[in-house]
Parts: sequence; structure tokens; C-alpha cells
Amino acid sequence: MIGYLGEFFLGQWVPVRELCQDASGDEAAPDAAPLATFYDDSFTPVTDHSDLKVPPIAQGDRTGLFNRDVQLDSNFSAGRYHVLVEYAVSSSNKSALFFFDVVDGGNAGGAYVAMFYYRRPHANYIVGQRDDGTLEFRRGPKL
Amino acid sequence: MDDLGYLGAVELGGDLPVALPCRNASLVPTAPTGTPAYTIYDSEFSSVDTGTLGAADTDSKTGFRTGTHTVSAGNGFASGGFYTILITYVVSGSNRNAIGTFRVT
Repeated sequence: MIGYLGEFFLGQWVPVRELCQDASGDEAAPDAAPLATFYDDSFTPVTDHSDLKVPPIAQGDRTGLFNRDVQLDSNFSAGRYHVLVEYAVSSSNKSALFFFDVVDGGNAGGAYVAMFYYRRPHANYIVGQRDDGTLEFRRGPKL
Repeated sequence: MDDLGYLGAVELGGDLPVALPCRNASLVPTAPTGTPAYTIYDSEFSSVDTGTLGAADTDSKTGFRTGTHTVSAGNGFASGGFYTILITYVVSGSNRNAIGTFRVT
């Protein structure tokens, strides 16, 4: 499988998805979890994004279907990226190649997924949780 | 023939990263014989430019060959154009191809 995944901005999640096949092109369980490696536009491996294990999904429904959503964190910036997915079926190696573009905008921590606002006599506060799990504490007016 | 599909859009004057997992007839990743070469055609399938991918496997991944092609007016490209890239290589004496398309903005 080779394909273009589209455009994303920082903080979004890129789906790395592969349907493992045997030599006949039939769906097959691989010998081990597929490994995904990300490369930047000069084909240098992205820091902390080499040989990422891709877990199975829909195990009771589909054979050989694997997926891992990878967040575009601070290791990424605007540009073209490639993802090479490798696995083996009955000791026969297979590979898949995907590519996507990171466009300007977004935040490496992702969007807010939860937020709490509370008021105090001296100021208003927001506690927000970003998609990557980090918490932010904002005060208005600022000191 | 491997179908690279749509490679996306590249700005005139920019660089198009090109990557290909070279495979044998059983689709097993295999290092090609020699260097994969490619030809880029315009929408009327006239040859615009040529190039080659890396002479060695990238990141030690068997058969993974990569390169970069400058998409400039001096190289025959034009903004708004739609192009086809055809990559040819040899694995175990067998000729193999890969095809993809891209747009220049």
C-alpha cells in the first residue's frame, strides 16, 4: 500500500493504518506488530518516531488490520513527511509507504479537550487540558 | 506496477520528495539492481525532466530508495500543471515500475 494521507497541522493525529497481506494478497496476521518510521522531507528519521509499534484493531472482526494514531508534536514542523510501515507474514517481509503534509498553524500540544472556568474577586481563571494531556493555567487579567 | 498515487502539490521552485519501497515480484522489499531512475511527464505525456533515486537504501531499510526533485521553471515545470512521474528499476533481473502524479502550484 502506498498513499497520500492529506494535510494536517500541529497537534492533529495522523492515522497510520495498514491491512497486512500475505504473498497472495489475502488478509493475514503478521508475525509481529508492524513497525512505523517517520521521515522528514530530507528523509531523516523524525526524533522519537522510529520503529513505532502499530497495534491491531477490530481483532474479532478483521484479520491483519492495524492502526496507530500519531500526534504531530514538537518534533514536527511544516513540510512533507513519509511513513514507512514494515511487517512480515510467515517470515516474508512486506512494506507500505504513506506520506502527508504538515501545514502552518495548530499547536504541538493539540486542541483543548477539557476546560474549566472559575471566577475569583481579583481575577478569572481557566484551567485547560490539551489533547496531549498537558494542563494549562491561564489568568485574566494577567499580572 | 506500484501505484504511488497522488503525491500532493508542490510550489513552483520547491522540492518534491520522492520515495519508493522497491519490491520483487512477490512484493517483498528488495534492494534494486543499480539506481532507480524516473521520468516526469506533463499532462500531454511529453517528457519534462528526469532524475534518479538514491544509490543506497535509506535508513538501512531494505529497498527503500529516496530522492528530491527540484520543480522549477528552469527544469520545465509550470504553475498549475499536472505531472506524472514514472519510476523504473530492476530487481532480480526483472523490470519493475511505479507511477504517481503531482500538481505544481
